Amino acid sequence: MSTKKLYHQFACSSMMLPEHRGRLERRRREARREEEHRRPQFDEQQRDQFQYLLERSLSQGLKLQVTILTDQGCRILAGTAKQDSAAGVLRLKTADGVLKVAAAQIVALQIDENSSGDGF
Amino acid sequence: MIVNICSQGVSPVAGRRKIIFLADMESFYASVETALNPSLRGKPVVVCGDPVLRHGIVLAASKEAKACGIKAGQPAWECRRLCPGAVFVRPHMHTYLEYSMRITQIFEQFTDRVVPYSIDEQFLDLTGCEGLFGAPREIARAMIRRVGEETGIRCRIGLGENPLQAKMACDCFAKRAEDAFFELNAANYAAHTWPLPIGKLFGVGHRMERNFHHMAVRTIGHLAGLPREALARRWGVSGEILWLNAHGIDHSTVEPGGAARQKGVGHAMTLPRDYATPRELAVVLLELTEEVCLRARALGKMGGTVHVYCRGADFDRPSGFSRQKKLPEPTSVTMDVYPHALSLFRRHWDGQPVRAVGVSLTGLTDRDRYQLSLFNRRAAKDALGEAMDGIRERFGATSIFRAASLTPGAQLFRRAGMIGGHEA
Repeated sequence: MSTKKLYHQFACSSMMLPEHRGRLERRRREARREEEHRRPQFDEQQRDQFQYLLERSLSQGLKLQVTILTDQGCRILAGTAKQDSAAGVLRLKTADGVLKVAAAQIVALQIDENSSGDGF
Repeated sequence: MIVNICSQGVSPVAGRRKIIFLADMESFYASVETALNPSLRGKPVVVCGDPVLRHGIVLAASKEAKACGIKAGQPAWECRRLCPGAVFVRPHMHTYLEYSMRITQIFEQFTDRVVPYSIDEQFLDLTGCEGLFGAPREIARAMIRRVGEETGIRCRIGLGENPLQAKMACDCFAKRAEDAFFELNAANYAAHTWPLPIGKLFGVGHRMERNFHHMAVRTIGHLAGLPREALARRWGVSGEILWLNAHGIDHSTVEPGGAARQKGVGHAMTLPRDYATPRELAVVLLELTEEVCLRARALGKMGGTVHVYCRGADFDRPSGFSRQKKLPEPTSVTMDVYPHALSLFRRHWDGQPVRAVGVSLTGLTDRDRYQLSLFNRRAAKDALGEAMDGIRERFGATSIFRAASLTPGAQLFRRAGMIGGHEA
């Protein structure tokens, strides 16, 4: 306690109403949630990078780790990919079956260098 | 403890000096009332609690009222004597909170490191923002203008290299400065603050001021001249902090979210009349314990120590106590804490009428870490508490309550419409 007072004298003497504290905390949580659900804006270079990783995964049969943004926040899927450019959809063969992922949902792509997929 | 005085107020980034602001709102409650009702402008406005409920003290006074000698904490009758033309306004705590949040939002457009210190004071760390908004004085000017334009409230800003210097700059100088701004730093701190009376130093209250006067310490400079060890020997860490404050040294940082890392939760209330029967006091203690435990649960914490505070009704013969007790195990279950709070009260109460009581829980730890017990149905108690909290959150504080809150002396229904003990 002594150390806390020595290093945080204002935190120790702060006179915050519980209602004020609660509202600040609520607003902080909302801001964090908004930030987590904000869709990132990708530039052309980033989109090219995604396409390159996708093509490498397809040609070498490497597993792809895809991060998608859903209403519940970010979710990571892993599997072998097949793209359907016309529909703007990526089909991913995962342990849970084949999943369709809209390109617009994707926020990050990564290749699992140590694994080889079992093909689509 | 070794303190590197040279490192004070220096940001870890390239040895850059920190830029810490303390922004304080002038006569906050009175200014909000005037902003909402422009006909009050230029009049001596006094925001005062309800005298019927014994809250008839001044919470805030406009500068015109202060010019008549009215100060916060004075009883309403004294204000009427000092300033017969004063306009008395009842507090609107909910609105003041709204304004405070709006002001925080304005500040957050300059920096994400904003930490409210109270409803009308906020610390800001603007280190590294000069490239975006200009020199500190320019930033302060822009903030003062924005707050004034968007809320109608006059803001004063103290600048320092640490929160203490900013606070001292604001309280001792910016409040009286024409441009509502003042800067203290390691170079000018002594020259400006050492001639000030010792009571002006942050952390020195009336009692400590008296102690220092007995030691012939009358100015901040006198205190700065004493050996640090002597103060540490006499007052422990508090004495050491005062010595550091006298030298403008402060290890605090401005960390948003620090509010969530609080070390205790507590509630105290001034009773609407003097309570003299153990039965009535037990009901109020139960209601306070419930409020405290509810807040601890909301934070995901439980307390290891319960404190009970009581103040007697007789002003001429001050009585009361403040005692604490370690709980057998940390808890946030109301009915686990209450028996200990009640036994503390019964042991220390002198039987005289009581004016104010309070309960707090300290030694907070995370709720998910506790000693498993074969016989204590802890999970069931926690689930019951959570279910009650959920109902209260959804339908209001009075949607579910203990039957004791229907007995004479209970305060739950009166307090439900209040913030900080005043009308919401």
